[in-house]
Amino acid sequence: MNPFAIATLIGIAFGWTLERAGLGSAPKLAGQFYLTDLTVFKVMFSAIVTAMLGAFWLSRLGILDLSQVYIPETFLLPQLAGGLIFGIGFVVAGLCPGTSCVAAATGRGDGVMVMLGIFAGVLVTGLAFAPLRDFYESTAHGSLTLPELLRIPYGVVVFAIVAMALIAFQFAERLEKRA
Amino acid sequence: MRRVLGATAAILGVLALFAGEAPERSADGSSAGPPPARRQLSAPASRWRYSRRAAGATLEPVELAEWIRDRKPHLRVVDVRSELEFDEYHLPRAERLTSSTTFAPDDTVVLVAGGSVRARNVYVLRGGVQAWIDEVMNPTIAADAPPSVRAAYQRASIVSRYFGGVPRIVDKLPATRANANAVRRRGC
Repeated sequence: MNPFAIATLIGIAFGWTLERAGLGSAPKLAGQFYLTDLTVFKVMFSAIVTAMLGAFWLSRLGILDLSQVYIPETFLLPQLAGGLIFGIGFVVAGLCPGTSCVAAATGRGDGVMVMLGIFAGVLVTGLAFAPLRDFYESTAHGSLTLPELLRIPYGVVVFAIVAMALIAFQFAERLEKRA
Repeated sequence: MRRVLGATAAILGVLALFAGEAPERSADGSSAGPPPARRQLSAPASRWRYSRRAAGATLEPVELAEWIRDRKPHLRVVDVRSELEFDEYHLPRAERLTSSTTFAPDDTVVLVAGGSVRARNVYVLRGGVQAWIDEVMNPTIAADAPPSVRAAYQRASIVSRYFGGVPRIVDKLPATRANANAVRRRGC
């Protein structure tokens, strides 16, 4: 099957799911930062748990070869800086890249503006890349995974993250009820 | 519904504790059976363990590949072949040795294909560009190889995939020179 066709199908499914979860709405996303609406947290953490359990069990059953899965490399300082810039943009816009596409697709004007902002940012970064390059490639740590970093078995990490997620979901529900 | 999903996640998570590791697989996707060896992705604690080797020693292609991938500080991969040969093929991040090339004392210099350079850490890549193509871009292993060879292949195949190479498990390693060349051409 054509990889673009697969990507298109996955993209549409992803967008549809985001919209169904209510994440196309900026006020809902902003609620995350005021701790009044923890939908973003719950959606993201359940996605992490689902993907992690899927990857773990599919590889354990011999269906998925994890050594073929690309693990993004860690560049500590540039990624911390990137996360901070991303976070500021997220709070200011009330949308992140994925949800801005969803918002734009459903006809929300703020979604279109955020998407234009993303492309402008990509362009500026590309043009200013030469002086940024040294920082961009600094503090490289290669591909890290939690089992290797913490030197504990993969299964134990999976269990710990699932336990963490379930406890956090309970806590999030309580927080939302109070708000 | 929410309780069911939560309970399913909890059960799968608890079972993961006792599930052990994924089975080894061969290149064609079929399960190669035991032994299920631990998959090494990277070992952060022992990363630059070879840094103190004697200068002038040869360096294994796979080791250099790991250095390039992990962005070893002050690494300089210096290709001393002609411009023509360099343009035809060169290692990722390699630079060509020219009259204006200078080295800092901190530099770890890896020479690809002969030459002599003044720096504290000079390595000569064993086997030159051909060894890189053979051992990093196209690592192969016989299906019935002993565990020690398998471990080396595992290590090579991880960096190989990183650089877009094609690690392969074959029924029998190519015996003739002609076969070997045919195998080499793939993937570059």
